[in-house]
Amino acid sequence: MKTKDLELISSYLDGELPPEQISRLEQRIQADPELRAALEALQQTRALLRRMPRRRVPRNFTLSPRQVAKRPPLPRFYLSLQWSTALTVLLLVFSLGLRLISPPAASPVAQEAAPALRAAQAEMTEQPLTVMALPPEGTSTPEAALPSIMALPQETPQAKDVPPSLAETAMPAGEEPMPSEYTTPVESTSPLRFIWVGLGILILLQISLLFGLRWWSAYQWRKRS
Amino acid sequence: MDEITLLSQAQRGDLDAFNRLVLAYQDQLFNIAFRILGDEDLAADATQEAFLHAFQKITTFRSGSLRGWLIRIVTNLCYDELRRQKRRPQTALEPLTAEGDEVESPSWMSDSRPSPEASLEQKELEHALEHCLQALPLPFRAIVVLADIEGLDYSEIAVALRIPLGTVKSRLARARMRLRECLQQFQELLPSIFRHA
Repeated sequence: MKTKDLELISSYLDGELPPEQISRLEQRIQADPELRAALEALQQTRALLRRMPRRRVPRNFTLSPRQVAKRPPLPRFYLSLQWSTALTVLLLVFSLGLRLISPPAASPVAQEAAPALRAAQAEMTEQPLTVMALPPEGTSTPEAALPSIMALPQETPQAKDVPPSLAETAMPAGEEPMPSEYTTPVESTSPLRFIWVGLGILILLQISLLFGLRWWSAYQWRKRS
Repeated sequence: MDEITLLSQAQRGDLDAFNRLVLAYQDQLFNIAFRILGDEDLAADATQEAFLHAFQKITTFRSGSLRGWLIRIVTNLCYDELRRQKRRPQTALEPLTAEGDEVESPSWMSDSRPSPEASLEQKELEHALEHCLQALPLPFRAIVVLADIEGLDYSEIAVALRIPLGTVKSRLARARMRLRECLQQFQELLPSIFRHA
């Protein structure tokens, strides 16, 4: 027998069939002995199940204040907060996973700056002294401000040749220069990094709030009872 | 006092109001848990846990059927329990003979009270039904319990189990047919009108 027919008969038995299908099915049942037998079989099975005796509850399941004190009722928005925390964690994991799967291509700015940076690195590796670049006057970006802290008091002529936006610490002579993709400012200013930090802070806040709410509910419950 | 009033009092933290709801639904929840789990102690634990869980989350219940919501909680707890049992199968408690074989029907397990034949047959039939119910896959079993034993309609089952109405229809039809096939093994226990169908 087709599953569809079995479903129709079962629904018919429970009175859950739409009215327009009832008369059509009744005609089919009268004409088809297989359908009739299936209807009887389902009818009898259902009747047997309905005759199963009910079990008496072994005890009352009412709650005592002591039972509830361990897990008092939580505020209405607790569940929403749980969901939003889970969502934030998922978002963070997803963005981190995405970053791992596909490392970002160098931006046009970085591509343009790459040859100049390599030239500057090559020049600096030739220098016996450690050279730091100074940011231009009025620069306010953090990556430009960073070298100014580390800069030497006396500016060397070589430092002027280094583009200020690409300022970085020079390495001692003979040491391998770092690959440019690790040293470009594009990497450090990546907006993804700020998103990750933001999401991390948000998760911490949400978790603290969840714990706080649980503690507050327990405190309120104890006070009331 | 009606259910809505009790519910709103319970949502404000009134334990007495909640306990009156417990008394109204405990029989149904316990029977559902018992038919799904097939064990009275486990069913009692699941029912108690369901009410505790419900009280803790009562403020998150907004509208709809309270009965459906409670049934959903107890059914989920039964599912969790069965999954736990599957992960950690229990060892049988049957005693062992000197050779290390299991004694199938130890004397301390038998019921010494004399019982009339009719009652015995009824018990055997119930055991046969219980056996066939437990042989059903879990989602099928839950639907049969809710529809045929507890008498819930399709839409209530769909809400309680969070499944589409079409799934309720198809699973219930297949579950009934499987039960029918299983019960054929126990022909001699079935009432006469069911025997030669």
